[in-house]
Amino acid sequence: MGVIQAFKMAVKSIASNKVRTVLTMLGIIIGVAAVMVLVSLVQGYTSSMMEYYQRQGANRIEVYAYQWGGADISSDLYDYCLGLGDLVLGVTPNAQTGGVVKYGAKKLENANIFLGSDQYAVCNNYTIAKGRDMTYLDVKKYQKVCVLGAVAADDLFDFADPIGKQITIAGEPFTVVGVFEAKYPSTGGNEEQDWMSHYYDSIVVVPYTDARFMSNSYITFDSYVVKAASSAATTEAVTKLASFLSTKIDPNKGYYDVYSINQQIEAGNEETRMLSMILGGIAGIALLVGGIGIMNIMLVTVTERTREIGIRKALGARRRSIIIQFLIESGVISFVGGIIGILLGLLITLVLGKLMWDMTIFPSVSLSLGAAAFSIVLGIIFGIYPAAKASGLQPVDALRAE
Amino acid sequence: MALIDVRKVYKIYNEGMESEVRALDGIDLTIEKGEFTAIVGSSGSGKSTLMNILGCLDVPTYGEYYLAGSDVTELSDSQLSRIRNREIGFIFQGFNLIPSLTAIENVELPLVYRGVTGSKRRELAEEALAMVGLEEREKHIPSQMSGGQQQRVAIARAIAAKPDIIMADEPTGNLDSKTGGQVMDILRTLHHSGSTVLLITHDDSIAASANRVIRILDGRIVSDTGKGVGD
Ligand SMILES: Nc1ncnc2c1ncn2[C@@H]1O[C@H](COP(=O)(O)OP(=O)(O)OP(=O)(O)O)[C@@H](O)[C@H]1O
Ligand SMILES: [Mg+2]
Repeated sequence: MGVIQAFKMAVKSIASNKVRTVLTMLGIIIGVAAVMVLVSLVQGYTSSMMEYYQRQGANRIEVYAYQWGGADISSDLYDYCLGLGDLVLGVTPNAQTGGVVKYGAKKLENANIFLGSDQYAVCNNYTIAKGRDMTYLDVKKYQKVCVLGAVAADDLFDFADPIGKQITIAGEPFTVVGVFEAKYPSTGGNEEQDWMSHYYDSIVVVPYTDARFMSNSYITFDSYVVKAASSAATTEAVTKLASFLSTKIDPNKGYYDVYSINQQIEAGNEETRMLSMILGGIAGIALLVGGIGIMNIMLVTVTERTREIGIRKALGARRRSIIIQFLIESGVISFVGGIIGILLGLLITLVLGKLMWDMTIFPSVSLSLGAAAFSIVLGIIFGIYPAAKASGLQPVDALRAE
Repeated sequence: MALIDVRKVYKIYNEGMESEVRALDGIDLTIEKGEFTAIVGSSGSGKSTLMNILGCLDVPTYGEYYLAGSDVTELSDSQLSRIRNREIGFIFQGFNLIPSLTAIENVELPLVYRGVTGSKRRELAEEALAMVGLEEREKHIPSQMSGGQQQRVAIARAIAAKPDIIMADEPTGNLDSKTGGQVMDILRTLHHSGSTVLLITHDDSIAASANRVIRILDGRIVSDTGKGVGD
C-alpha cells in the first residue's frame, strides 16, 4: 500500500469519525490559543507600561517638597541643581493651574497651565517645534512669555503662526514664543489616546516666577522634576537631592520625597515578571489540559481502533501500512488543530490588544510555534500509540480487544 | 505435498493454571488443494480456534503448521500479512466489518492492501457485492444493515480478491435457509472454479454439501470422512 493510499485512508477515517476528530482538535486548539493569548497579554501590558515611561523619559526624578508657612524651595532647588553640574540636565517646578486661555475670539476652556523653569521642556521630554524655548532670563525677569503645546496651538491659531502673538492667560497678556512638538499625536476615535493627547499636548507653559500675576488662582509649588544625565547619575542625584532636602525641610513642619522613574520601571519590571509567571503558569495548565484532552480521546478510542487494526491485519495490512495510516491520520488532525489554534490565538490577541491598549500586539512567533509543536507531537504520539501497540498483536488478539 | 499440513497442534489458554483450556488438543490434519471441507462440532469444541490458526490469524501453542510447504511459524509478520491478503479469504463468525466504512469500502479493503487501485478495485468490489445480492446496499455502513446483510458483506469481502483458499466460520449462521442456500451456492461455485474451501458449521445438512467432513470434540478430531469423498 502506497503513501497516497494511506493518506486517502487516513482522510476517510478522519471524516467518518467526526466527534473524535473535533474533540482531539479542540484540545489542541484550546491549548495553543490559550498560551498565545495569555502570554501576549503580558507582553501587551509590559509594552504599554514601558511606552508610558518612555514618553515620560528616562532618568526622570520626581521631587516633592513643601513646608507649611515657609517659602517654597523652587529657586533654592534650581540653584542647587545648577551646582550639581553635569549630573543633571535640568530642573523645573511642576506646578499646574487652570484658567481660560484666549486668543481673540478663540478660547481654551480647560487648558493645562504649567508653571515651569526654562528647563521645563528638557525635564518633561518636550522638544521645540517652532520658535524658541523659555530662557533663564525670561524666568529671572518675570517675562510674560509662554510656550504652547501642539494641541493648544492648533486650537487657538488653526494654521496661523502663533509665534509673537499675544494671548491672555487667566486675564493676563502673554506673548507666545514657541510651540512644542506633539507628545501624543491624536489618532482620533480612541478615548484614552484623546485624553492623553489633551493632557500632554493641550498645555501652556509659563515661567513659574509669573505665578504672582495669576493672583486669582491658588498655586502650590511642591512638585518638581529633575532630569539626570544618565542612569548612574540618576541614582547619585536622588541621594544628593534627598540629603539636600533634609537640610532644607524640617520634617515636623513639612515633607519631602525624591524618587526616580528608573526605580518605578524597576518596580514595573518586577510586576511584569510576576505577571508573566502567573499567566505563563495558567497558560501551561491550559496546554496541559488540552494535552490531557487529546490523550483522553485517543485512549478512549483505543479499543475500537485495536479491533479495526485487527481487521485490517486479518485482511493483509502490513504493520508498516497501519502505522503510516495512523501517523498520517493523527498528524493531519493535530496539524489542522494547531493551525486553527494559532489563527484563533492571533485573532483573540489582536482584538484584545486593540480593546485594552489600542495596540497591535503580535504573539511571539517562537512561543506560538512551540505551543503548536507541543500539541502536535502529543497528538501524534497518542494517535499512533494504539496503532503501534495493536499492529504488533496477532490479528485474533487485536480482534478480541475489550 | 498437501496445501495445509498441521502436525500435533495444540492451543492451550492459561496453561498450567487452574483455568487452563485446551482449545486444541493435538490436531493432525492435511488438506489438499481444491478440497471442499466442512468442520463440524458442538459449541466450544475448538472449531474457530483451529480455523484462526489455519488462516494465519493466530499461532499454535505447540505444533507445526505448513502452508503450501512453508513453515508458518518461521514466517515474518509481513510475509504472514501477504499470505492473509493474497492466499486466504477469511469469513469471520462475527463479521468484523469496520464500522465507519461503507459496505463497498469494507469489501475493497483487502484489494487496497493488495495494491489494486481505482476503477479496477471498485469493479471487483461491486462484482463481489452483486454475488451476495447486496448491490443495493453499497453505500450503507454496517450499523445500517441487518445481521444477514452484514454477514454477506463479510463474504463479499473474502471473495472479492479471488483468493485460492476460502475459510468461512459459520457463514450461514445469521441467514435464513434461502439466503444460506445462496451462500452455499457461491462457495460451491468457488470450489468448482478451483478454490480450496474450508467451512465451519454446526448444521449437518450444510456440511453435507462438502466433500469431506471433519468432526471435532474438545479440541480433538473424532472423525474424518477422508479425502475425495462425495461429489
Ligand atoms: N482467549 C481465550 N482464552 C481462554 N479460552 C478461550 C479463548 N478463546 C477461546 N477459548 C476457549 O477455547 C474453546 C474453543 O473455542 P472456539 O471459539 O474455538 O469454539 P467454537 O468451536 O468455535 O465454538 P462456537 O461454535 O460456539 O463458535 C472454548 O472453550 C473457549 O472458551
Ligand atoms: Mg466459533
